[in-house]
Amino acid sequence: MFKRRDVTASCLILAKIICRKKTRLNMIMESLHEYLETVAGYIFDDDKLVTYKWLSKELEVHVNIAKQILWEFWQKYKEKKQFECVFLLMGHLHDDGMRVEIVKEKNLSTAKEKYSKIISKHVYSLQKTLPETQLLMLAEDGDVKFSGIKCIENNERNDEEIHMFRWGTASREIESASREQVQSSVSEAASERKATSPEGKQVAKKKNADRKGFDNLFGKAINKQKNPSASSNADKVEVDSFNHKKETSKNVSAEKKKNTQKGGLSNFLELGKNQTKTPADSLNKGKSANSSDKECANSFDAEKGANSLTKEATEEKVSKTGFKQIQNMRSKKRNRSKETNNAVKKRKRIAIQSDSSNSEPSDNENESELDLPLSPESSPAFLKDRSVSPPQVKHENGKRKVLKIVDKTFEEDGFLVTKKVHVYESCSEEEPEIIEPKNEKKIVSESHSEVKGKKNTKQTTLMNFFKK
Amino acid sequence: MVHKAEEECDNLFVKSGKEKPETFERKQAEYKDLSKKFINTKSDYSKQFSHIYSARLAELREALIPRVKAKWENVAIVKLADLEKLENQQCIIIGTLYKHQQWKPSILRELSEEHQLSASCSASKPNYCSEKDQPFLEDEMLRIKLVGEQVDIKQIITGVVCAILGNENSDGTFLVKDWCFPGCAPKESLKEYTTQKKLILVSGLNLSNNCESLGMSLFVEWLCGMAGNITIQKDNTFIVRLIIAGNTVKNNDTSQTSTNTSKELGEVIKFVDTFLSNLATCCSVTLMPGEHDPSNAMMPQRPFHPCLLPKSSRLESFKSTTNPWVGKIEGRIIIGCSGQSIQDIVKVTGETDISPLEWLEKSLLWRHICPTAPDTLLVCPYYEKDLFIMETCPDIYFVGNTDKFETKLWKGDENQIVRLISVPRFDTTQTAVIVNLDNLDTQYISFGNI
Repeated sequence: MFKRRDVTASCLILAKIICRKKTRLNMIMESLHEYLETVAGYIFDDDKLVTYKWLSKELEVHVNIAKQILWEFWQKYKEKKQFECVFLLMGHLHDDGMRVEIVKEKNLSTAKEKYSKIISKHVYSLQKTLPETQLLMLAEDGDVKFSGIKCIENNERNDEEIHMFRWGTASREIESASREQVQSSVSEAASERKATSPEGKQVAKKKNADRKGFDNLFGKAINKQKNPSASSNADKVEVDSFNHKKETSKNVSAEKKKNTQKGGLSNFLELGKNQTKTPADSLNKGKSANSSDKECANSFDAEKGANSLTKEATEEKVSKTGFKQIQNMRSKKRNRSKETNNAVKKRKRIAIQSDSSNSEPSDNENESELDLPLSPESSPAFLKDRSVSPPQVKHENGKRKVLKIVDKTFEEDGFLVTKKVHVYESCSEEEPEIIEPKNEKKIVSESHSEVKGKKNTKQTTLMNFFKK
Repeated sequence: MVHKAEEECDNLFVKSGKEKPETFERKQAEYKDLSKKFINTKSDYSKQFSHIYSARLAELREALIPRVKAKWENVAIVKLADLEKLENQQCIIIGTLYKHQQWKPSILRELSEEHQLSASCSASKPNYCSEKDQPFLEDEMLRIKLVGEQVDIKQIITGVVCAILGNENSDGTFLVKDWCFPGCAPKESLKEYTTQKKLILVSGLNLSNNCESLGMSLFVEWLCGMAGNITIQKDNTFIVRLIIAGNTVKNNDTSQTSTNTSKELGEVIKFVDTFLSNLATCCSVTLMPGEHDPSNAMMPQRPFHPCLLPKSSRLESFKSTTNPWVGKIEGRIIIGCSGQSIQDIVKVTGETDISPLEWLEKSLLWRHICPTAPDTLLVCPYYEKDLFIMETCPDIYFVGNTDKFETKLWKGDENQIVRLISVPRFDTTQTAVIVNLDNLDTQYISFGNI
């Protein structure tokens, strides 16, 4: 019996939907009562300023219908309940001007005097109380798509037109280079527009928050007080956007490791570089949505790397405290100083690593500035390395190959945890390329290719520099 | 219930017989932007400004000579250098007016004030006038001081090209007997206009302070066909274009001294972008930059860069253009300025009783949009041609950012009919201007509350 009722109910709903599509008006007439109840809820329960434009947006009805609903409501309840009604008057003034104004019900008659002819009067808004009509400017905007006028000229320009429009014909030569960038930024702008819904905004907010946390990880001072909050942020996003079902306990242990790993990393990197990088980041964060979106995507990559770090670390069941790891780092340093050949390799890897971490905010302006101070000190190592073993240069160009071989050499070297750390670091630089296709597309499909392209160019330019 | 509703609210509501609430399609209009010449100026700042004056004089002299010959028959037109030979006979001289003004902006004075070499007293002055102002007329080589009862120092505007009838005095000044200005440019052709289409003009939206204004939201609702009944919405489909004449972002230079000004400006521009993109989805929009907008300060101001307004620039209905702007809508030629030109003229004259509309009319007769450039109005040092000479007679000639709405239908000697409009600041007056493209009827529409 119950089931049957359910079925009929759902049938009714279906029918209603169809009906709504076919003859919206009839539907509205039928459901006017429902609408009136909804409006009553808005006015008396939610204490909202119910303007016709807001109502039309909320109920997704034509503005004229929204006005009608408000009018019916006013007619029905003006005797029974206490609420205020504001009218919109439109008409010709005595001096040949026109005027559009909103008037409280009680002022209606005086307001009408100044018009020679009133051409329209309708309910503008209903609300419990309204001390000043000026307050109605706080009411939410309506949606133009429910208005009485459609404009067929509002076609969107396509990407190519936009590009020409933005950069003119003079930019033809650099067009190919900037192509990817422009397109992705454009598509991001589009996606940004789509994400005006509250949920979208929230996600964006979370992204930002996460980025902040991540920047902290990369920032110079791995401030231990800051870290828990930062990494918990990072975890949130992992759960939110990546749907990684991680056990929280795992996470907690992973966090610690990650932090210390990063700490070691940042020790390795020039502290100054990171310092210069972070302010730039925080600048970008605040401002352009596009770039911050991109950066978000990038930081996700890197985060992925970090994730994989922690995952693998846990898989290998290396349960160590952060403190111990730092110690290990030091010992590793010592080891490295003994094994010069290895050290050279590592050195090189680190250099690339730091480079990629710099290029993360790839549209960052001071990117090049960051690269320059870096290269001179690391270039001797590179040159030496290359002259000694040509094959490694090959590996340099093909990143993934390098990754594999590096893994092996580390296993040969020994099983020190600290060694592992370094392998993962290099992974965090190169792994995104492997991981990206899977995860990146979920977020912003375009930004993937852009990131990839950027990284590649980055590498080649760096190599060119060293060849000189 | 529906019938009851209809009783009071005329035909606002959808009649139950109809299937859907009516949605009307906005009319389309032929639109042509003729301000390419303003964009294609060479950014060569190494040139001297004097070229502008010589180009202006050369071009307008051609326009003046036939008028002068018609007005004063059989009087010789002489150059200033040849005045001596005439020995005080009556003659006609053609040249550019120049008013020597002590208090007009001067970089040297600013510098000396900065170094406290001279007392600063220009800051408080609302105009450039002083009692020592002197009128001159200059041609390519010389200048001569103008005297006589016909010379009203208030009416002398630097940069205006004119012809003067008179004779040289023995002390080397020129006694003025009559004036002749180039007059309104000839009309290209007389056409019959039968379109019912309308234009809306607004200026000084000042969205940085005015973003949450009731008048503004009513304006948007009215323009986009949300407010009003079906008749009004139907009428408003004849509005083919909204022209925003400057100062959309800011209305004054009181930039907050706080450090986050640029950040605030960024926020405001984002808001402007959203605002304009909303408007542009429902109506074609032409956006002119204004004095305080983030465009170049020099005239002609370039259009807002598309990257500045990413959302709006996506829409084909949105056109960002120059200030001043020349355009053609449905065959009507429209020239408009965001206000600097007229404001500067007012400063040069020091006259507050004369409305901007009168100066607008005069500038039509001078055949020049902003004569005070480059003297007191910043302008690019273009040198091949004076861009601001009106080549054709406009049908609608407007100036933005004035204090109040004024309009006048100006009729010229050669059947020119020009609608002159002073478009008031929206943020203070909450007023927009409706122009009918058919008969050039103009009325204002104000928005507000009680």
